[in-house]
Amino acid sequence: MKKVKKVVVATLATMLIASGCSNKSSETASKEYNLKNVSFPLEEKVTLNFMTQSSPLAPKDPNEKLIYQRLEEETGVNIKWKNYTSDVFVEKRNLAMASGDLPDAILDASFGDYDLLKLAKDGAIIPVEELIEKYMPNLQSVLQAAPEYKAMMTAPDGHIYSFPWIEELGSGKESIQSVDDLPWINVEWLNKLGLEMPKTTEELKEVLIAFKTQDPNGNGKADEIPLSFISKPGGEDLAFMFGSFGLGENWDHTVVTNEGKVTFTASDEGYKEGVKFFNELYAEGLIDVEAFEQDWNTYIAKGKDNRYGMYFTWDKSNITGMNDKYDLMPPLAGPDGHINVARTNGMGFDRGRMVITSANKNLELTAKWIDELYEPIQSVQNNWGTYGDDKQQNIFEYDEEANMLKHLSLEGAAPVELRQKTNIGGPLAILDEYYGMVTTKPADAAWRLELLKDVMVPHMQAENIYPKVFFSIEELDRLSTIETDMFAYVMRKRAEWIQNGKVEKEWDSYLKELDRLGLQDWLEIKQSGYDRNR
Amino acid sequence: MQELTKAGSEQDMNIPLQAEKQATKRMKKLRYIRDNYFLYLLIAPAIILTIVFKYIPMYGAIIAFKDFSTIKGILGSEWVGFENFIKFLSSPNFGTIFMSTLKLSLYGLILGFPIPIILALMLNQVRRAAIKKNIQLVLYAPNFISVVVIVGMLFIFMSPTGPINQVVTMLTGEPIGFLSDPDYFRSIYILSGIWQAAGWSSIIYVAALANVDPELHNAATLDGANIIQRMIHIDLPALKPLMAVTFILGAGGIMAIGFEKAYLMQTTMNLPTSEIIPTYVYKVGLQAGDYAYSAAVGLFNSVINVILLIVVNYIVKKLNEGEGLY
Amino acid sequence: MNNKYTRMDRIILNINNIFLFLAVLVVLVPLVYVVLASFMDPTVLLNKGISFNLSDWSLEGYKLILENDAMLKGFINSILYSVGFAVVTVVVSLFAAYPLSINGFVGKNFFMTMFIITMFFSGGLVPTYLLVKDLGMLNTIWAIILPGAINVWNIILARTYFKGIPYELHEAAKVDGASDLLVFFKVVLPLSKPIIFVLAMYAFVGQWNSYFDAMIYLDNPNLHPLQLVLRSILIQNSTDPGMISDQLAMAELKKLSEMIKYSSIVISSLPLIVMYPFFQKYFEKGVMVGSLK
Repeated sequence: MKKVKKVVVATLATMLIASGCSNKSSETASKEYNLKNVSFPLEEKVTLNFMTQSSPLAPKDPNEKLIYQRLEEETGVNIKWKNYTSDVFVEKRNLAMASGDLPDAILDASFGDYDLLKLAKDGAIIPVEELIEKYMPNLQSVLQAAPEYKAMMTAPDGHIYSFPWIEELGSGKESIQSVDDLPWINVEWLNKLGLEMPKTTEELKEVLIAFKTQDPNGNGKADEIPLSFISKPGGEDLAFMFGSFGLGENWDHTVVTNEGKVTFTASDEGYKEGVKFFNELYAEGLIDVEAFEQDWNTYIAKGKDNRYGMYFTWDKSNITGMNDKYDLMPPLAGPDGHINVARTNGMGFDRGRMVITSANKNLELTAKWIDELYEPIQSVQNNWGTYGDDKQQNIFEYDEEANMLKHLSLEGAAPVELRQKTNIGGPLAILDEYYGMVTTKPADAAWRLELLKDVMVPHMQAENIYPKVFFSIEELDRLSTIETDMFAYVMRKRAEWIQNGKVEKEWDSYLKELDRLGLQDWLEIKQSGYDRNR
Repeated sequence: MQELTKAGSEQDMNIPLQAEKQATKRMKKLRYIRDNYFLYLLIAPAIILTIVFKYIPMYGAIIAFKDFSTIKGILGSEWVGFENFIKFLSSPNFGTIFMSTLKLSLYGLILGFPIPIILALMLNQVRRAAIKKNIQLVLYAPNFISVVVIVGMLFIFMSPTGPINQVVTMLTGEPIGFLSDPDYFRSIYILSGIWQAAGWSSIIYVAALANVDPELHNAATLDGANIIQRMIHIDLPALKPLMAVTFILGAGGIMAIGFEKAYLMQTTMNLPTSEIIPTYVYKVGLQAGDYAYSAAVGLFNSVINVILLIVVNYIVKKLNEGEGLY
Repeated sequence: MNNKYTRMDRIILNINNIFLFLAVLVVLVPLVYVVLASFMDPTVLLNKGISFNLSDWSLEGYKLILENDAMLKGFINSILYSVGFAVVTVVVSLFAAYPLSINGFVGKNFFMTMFIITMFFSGGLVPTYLLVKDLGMLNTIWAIILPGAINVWNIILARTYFKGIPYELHEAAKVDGASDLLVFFKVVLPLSKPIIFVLAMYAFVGQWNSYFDAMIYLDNPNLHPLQLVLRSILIQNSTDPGMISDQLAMAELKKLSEMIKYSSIVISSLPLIVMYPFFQKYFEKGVMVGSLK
């Protein structure tokens, strides 16, 4: 043991000496340019150092993108980029922050609420509300047109610490995010078997049974999968169906009643009835055996093979293609005639899109540069892509007279690749009123919005969704701890009950367990967040 | 250790005499160092590298006791004592998660330990070098496959409609939920791990067996020993030191189980057994890149590992005639 | 060698071979699957499994990788890093293990404790990163080679091996007037070929398959090793249900990553599997035979 003591002492000594040695340098932010009353283009070019991320498909130096080149011309500001691919970005970003290498700003920072508050508390990023007021007219007009976002941008301590990304496609109940897991039913099979589109849950069950037993794909094998989904919160889950039984279900299990009460969906009586129904379907062999473990790839593969009677996803073109084989199924009436489409709490709003660090010595310059991004025509390009590029395909064509950017048809090019190569993301705002004035809706979004409006919106009973509340650090901490265990428990029990039908028996102990995992605290925090936000 | 006991028993003796004995010991040690300076030169690079790259950064371990702030750095951050540890230990499912981790690692060690040894012994019996080479090549190959792909393959093979369940359904009419049933998680995790690593791990044993003098085997055969007897009395003893060391180090690594494979293998339904400490910390800490929290958990694990190491080392030494890690 | 096998022996040998054969089979089947899967269209693969219908075959997986110009650089970098790393770590480990294997080496327990402590307690990523940065090693090959060169497990393995070399050999050499230095280099090392090559292989392969250190310390994409390049082609992310354009992005990327999953394994393991037979001969028996004489 003497030996161990000797080693420990030697170690401590070394550590003490060494700890004096580590230094902090924040040399990565650019020097002070002392520019006042900045107006673009600048007479002399200056450089700012930003950090960002991009997909591996995009050019390594963001300045190769036409949008940034044009911005540089217009402003006279050259941006020196530290660009990381998305898979390593978070680690690199955290390391840079932790080792004191702060750039002037981080664009596409992917900061969650907790990050923002922590960094603000540490003094790594600065509050920007004054900058917005003094130097950013474009952003101000956006906030005037849509004041609800100001509250969402503001932290519990009253400051604004980041610049948001806002993309409105439809608004209120018609917003494109209001339902993510749309149900698509195989109308080819319906027609083949002479069946009508089901209107109630019972009818659906019969239709699914028919799919299973009457061989609608005509190959002599009972290989049809009547119902499939991915048992995980998201666009491929069957959460949509719970609407027929009560308040419904969405990916964060949060629904607000019309009396303003925040409710946990998975402890609701309606939820229980829904689970019972699914168990009936399971007992009849109507549910894909792989639904509880499969991943996206397996799900898609079977979909492309048209093996599903009914499945869920954001947009059918991803899975079964843009054709007439599958169609959107309208919401079903439950056993007591109840029809409801639960709304998700999704919104085209990303709080921590861009931040200015405390190492930045050129606040006016940076703020004005960022404000350029909120100019409507600029925002549109930054989000989707650009026009007038003679080196590669364009997303838009520019109508000079109307000063509008019109979406071009993509002619079979992979939309993703093109967007990621040409757009820049970043902080921007696209408000619903821009459509028809500054730009047109992208074709796939327009189509989906129409569908939602016709089929789903009329049945949405909830007047309110749960907004993007900006919680405090303590609240975020508590919520994350509770949700990690509680949400996983909910999904697990749901999967078990669908298969074994024991929901009624185990319901009481389930509720008790939810309480043990912190459900009451969770409700309290979320309710006070909601009340604060009105 | 021995020097200590001697000194103890001489406590009641003459103090000057004892002091003199200490002085002589020191002289002897210094002389040894001077005479064998070459040995110290040899070990110097390792020592230097260890001090520079392992000990100097070690001050960072105190991050576990701090509320880490990126601006203030590790040393400047606020001291919060055991707050992070308490947060971890009081998580609602701590008990389950801890046991899942322990069991997964322990069973893995117990099952995974003998197999490379057995493989090496078996390979040793193969006469024709060409065949032996090829067998080895096949057995080593899985080691090169990344965890992501292994889990991907597992999901394909073990799915309710996959090849294994096709056989099961034929035999019993019902597929087995290998991937959803918590009871199967451990077995699949461990067995697939063995599949992947056993061959590669056997290399070190094969190398050790290469040193066994074939004369010993010849002599034994002439004495009438069969293969099994020769394995037990010649091969195994040759492997004993290696086995002891590997086992002790394995025990000392029980809490250090990696996060990636379990995380990839988790499904909604197998969480009661598949949620282990590293995956849980990843999820909770994912919120904020919370270095302090994961450092605290890491420290907690390390302490347990050290205890395990000391205990197992002690036990193995007792069984192995005093030969252990120390 | 004319060993007379007893009947018992023959039975045991047969059982031995049967088990080995089974082991090989169990290992081989999934491997064959990987190779075949690398040539298949992922949609077909997930639906029907391996199909031998040529129309379902596709070289997309390989094309995507081989046409990526970062690949060649990644390959060369990986070879450099893996060889450099293997050399340094093997030398350091052997040199450290030898003194530790000598009975009566003063400070043995001190050094051992010092090493073993590092196996359990470490400063973590941030301080190590800061250190590497302060030493000016960022974006150099040294960041990959030096910090990881200390592998206590390897030192212990080598020490165990050295302990297994009969002491009579040391004495014989010393009697002939050899110094410590000569004993080590002329007697012990030549006898250590198996452990040297095992450690070298473990080190080379370990480094070849790793990406984390490169990810952290090497910003310059020209320095990226193969695994890192493959990884960035193979991203796995989860979608935030609130963002629209990402949905399509995810679908495309996942399709790409599926295609590359298997072909990337084949490509990155090929060199290793090809090289292995050359190292094989050092594991042959009887390395120490004759040395006593």
